[in-house]
Amino acid sequence: MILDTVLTTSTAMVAQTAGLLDTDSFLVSMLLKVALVIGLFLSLPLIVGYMEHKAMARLQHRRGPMFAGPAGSLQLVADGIKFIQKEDVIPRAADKWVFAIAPGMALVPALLIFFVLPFGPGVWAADLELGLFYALAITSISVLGVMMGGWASANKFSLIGGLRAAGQLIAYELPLILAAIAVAVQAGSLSLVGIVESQATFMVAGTDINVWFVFPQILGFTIFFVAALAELSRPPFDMPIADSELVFGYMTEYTGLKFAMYLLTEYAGMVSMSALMVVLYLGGWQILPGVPLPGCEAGGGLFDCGVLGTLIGVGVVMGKILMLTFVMVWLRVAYPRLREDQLQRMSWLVLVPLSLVNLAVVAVAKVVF
Amino acid sequence: MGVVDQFELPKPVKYVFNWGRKYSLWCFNFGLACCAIEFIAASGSRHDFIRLGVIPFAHAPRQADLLVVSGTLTDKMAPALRRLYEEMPEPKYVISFGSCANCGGPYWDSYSVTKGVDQILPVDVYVPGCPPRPEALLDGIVALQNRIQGESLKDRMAQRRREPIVLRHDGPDIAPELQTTEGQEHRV
Amino acid sequence: MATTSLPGVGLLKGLGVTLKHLFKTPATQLYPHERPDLPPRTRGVIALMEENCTVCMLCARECPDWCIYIDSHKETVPPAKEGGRARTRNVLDRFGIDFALCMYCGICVEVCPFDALFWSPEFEYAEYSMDLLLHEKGKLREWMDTVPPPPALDAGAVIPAEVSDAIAKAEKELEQAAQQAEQAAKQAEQAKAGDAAPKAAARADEPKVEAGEIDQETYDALIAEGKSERIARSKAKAAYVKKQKALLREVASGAGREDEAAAEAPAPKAAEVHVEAGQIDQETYDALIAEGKPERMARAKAKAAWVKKEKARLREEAESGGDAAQVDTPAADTAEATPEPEGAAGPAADAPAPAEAEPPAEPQKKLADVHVEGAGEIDQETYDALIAEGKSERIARSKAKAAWVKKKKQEQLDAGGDE
Repeated sequence: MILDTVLTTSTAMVAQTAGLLDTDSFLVSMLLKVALVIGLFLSLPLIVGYMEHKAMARLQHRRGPMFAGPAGSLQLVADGIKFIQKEDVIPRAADKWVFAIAPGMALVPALLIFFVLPFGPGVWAADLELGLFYALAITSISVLGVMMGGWASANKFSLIGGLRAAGQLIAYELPLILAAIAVAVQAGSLSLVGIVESQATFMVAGTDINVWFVFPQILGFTIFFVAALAELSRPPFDMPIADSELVFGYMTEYTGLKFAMYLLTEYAGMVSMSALMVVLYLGGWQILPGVPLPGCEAGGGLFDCGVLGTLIGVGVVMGKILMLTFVMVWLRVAYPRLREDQLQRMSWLVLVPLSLVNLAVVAVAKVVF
Repeated sequence: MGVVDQFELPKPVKYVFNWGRKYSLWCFNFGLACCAIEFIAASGSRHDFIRLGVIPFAHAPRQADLLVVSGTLTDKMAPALRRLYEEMPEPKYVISFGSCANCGGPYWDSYSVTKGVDQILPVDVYVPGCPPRPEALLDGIVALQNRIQGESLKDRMAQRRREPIVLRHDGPDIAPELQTTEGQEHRV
Repeated sequence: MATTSLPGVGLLKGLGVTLKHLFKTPATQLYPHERPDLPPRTRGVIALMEENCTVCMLCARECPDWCIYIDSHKETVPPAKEGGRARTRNVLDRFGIDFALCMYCGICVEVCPFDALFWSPEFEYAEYSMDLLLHEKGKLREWMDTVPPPPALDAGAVIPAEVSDAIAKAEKELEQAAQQAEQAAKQAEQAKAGDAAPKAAARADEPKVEAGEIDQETYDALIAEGKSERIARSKAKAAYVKKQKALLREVASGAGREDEAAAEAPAPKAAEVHVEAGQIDQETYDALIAEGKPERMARAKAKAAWVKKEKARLREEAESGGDAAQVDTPAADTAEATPEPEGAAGPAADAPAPAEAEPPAEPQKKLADVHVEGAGEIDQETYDALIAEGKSERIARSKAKAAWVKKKKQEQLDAGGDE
């Protein structure tokens, strides 16, 4: 239902490049797109989760899962199968309906972002004109599910966790959006595909050296990365689920599949935030700045790449996503959790002013050059 | 849950389900004494039981599948342990780790010590030692995994419903809060 | 940190530390695949050498947890000689250690005066039910297979007092054996009852001697003293009988002592070579797995089998080296070997003692006139018969071992008698 509405409204809004999955038949292309999005949504978080297990293990001088499947690769599959079988506990004092809906409420927005994310040349479900706006708007809905869960659990730890999540979201949404706006200003487009395209043609002023936005906007990239971490409640910003203070925050009372949905939300969020960073700052499916994919030198270096070029493009995007998620894991292993007041101070006193400065500089530079 | 334990599943499905439970044992450590240190050692780099699919330190009992009771359980602490166990969702497993947890160990004649956690919880695997080596815990986990792979969830749950752990309502060992009517409810 | 001026340098350092570990080999031990290399003194599980237990109850009384359960009854042993007093001895009925309760303090092992309890490094005996953690003597005896040999003494260490005592004792016995062999040869000529006597001696019964001969010395002395001829003859006859009996008893006691030695020597200690336990004997392992034994038990037994094999191999090598062969000779033929043990005592006594700390019983047993090397050799017939009777494997083995020792001794005595 929701998907349908989104798709129909999005087709109305689309004014951009048609993807590979756009065929003459609306039904066929819609099915293909849904299949792509659902497939990626269910597989990428598992891959990232496995990567997290293994990377964390190696960073901590251990080996990580080894027994479930070859080299432990099915560890998260085993987790999933187990969650199916777990008892579904609903506390007696809980607000049952809200309690039941909340994980879905968190999960669906995480799924919806995938519709606008370009994963390769032509590999996207929809290229909205307002793609960036859509993506940032949708991510903030997730926190609603978190707050609902925290409230409905009838548990003080859950409630505090949910409120912390909300406070954290408000604090970090601002620098996140301000950093993204700077990119949109520089690219002159809100379409994610358009931003990738503009990175392929962006030259350092006065030369013909092609660079990605990460180089002129290294400050913006850093702000975006930190804010994304905080928005995902990833360590060192995981106060909403701080287990030394809040047991498990808003997830304290959740069991089985509902808990699995929250987990999936977190990992899907890691993937979508990384994909956003790849699109906004790291040149999308370009291998290196100024190096087009094999087979698509003709199409401005970005589109109509043929089978090989498309596959390589998808691989490049996945590689970049994995690199960014690895950095997230790395930070998780290296740093202890911040205090709640440190978290708020860091946002309002450091990141927000910096992102404003960043936006101003970019805007001035855009006008001058 | 609710469905999968009502019917005897077809063999391949049962195998896959058992396999899933076997390698996803989110572990809740109820560390009470020196045995907990050995447990922590088992979760550290040298022994790293995540290799076996035991994810250590599940934050809350609601997410845990495996309860490892490591250390001396006192009568004062027993209600808390029992409560945490009740908060865990089925199917749940318990490892009793070390002599104190098995049957009181060196404190078998102490007035304040519960003589074994199996007086208040159904224990799946007993790991002997005082304290046991970390490898002994791994051995106990492997034993538990073998048991899970061979079990029938339906039988397990049916048995759980049929034979609930009934607390002694009159014993001096059990704190008043623990003397609930839970056992009676099941019997009626 | 104090020296860094730039903010954020500490954060980068932290990242560097974790990243360094990414490229190191993980410290993880792959336990279920690879067993940990545990030192021999590891307190894993307590093993019982049942044969050494005298039911003195010291362990059970000293146990702080009261987790040792011992039951026994008294048995009356018939008197060793006619007119003697019947002895009682304790027979172990039950020896159980409750490892669910045990606190692994090791007091029982330390307090045991007869070396019946040992530490084994095995730790893999987690159970699904707590009553299975109460190991009875059969199970405790099985753990004995996993007890590692004691660590070797340092090079040049002083020989422990009990070992040197045992060597001295053994040397004395060798001399006795030599005398005995001579006298046995003499006796074979003299006595018609040559066959009957050693048999009686083997049973450690009162030796029977045909009274017919007279002791010439005594007779002459008495005649010289002016005693009547009749008195002199009867006294001389009595003297002869006494002498013969003493002689035979000496033979019997030599054999009996060595019998004891065989029974007392703990199985893993029996071999004189030090072998690192670590490998397993694949054949044994496969066989046990095929029998459906649990993997852990199979591994422990296979390890024991490997150690035994390895020891046997090393012993063979040592024997081909020379000195062990000489030690064995008295068993083969007592009369001829008489001069040899003199030389053999040297290397045999020196070689094993400093190199690896042997149990004190060792040299005595090795140098005794019958070679009862190791508890491994059993009398197959007896063993089969007992197994067929439905006796437990352990009992069959120990009885077959005793039968083997007895047989060997018989052979040796027969050989002595024939000459």
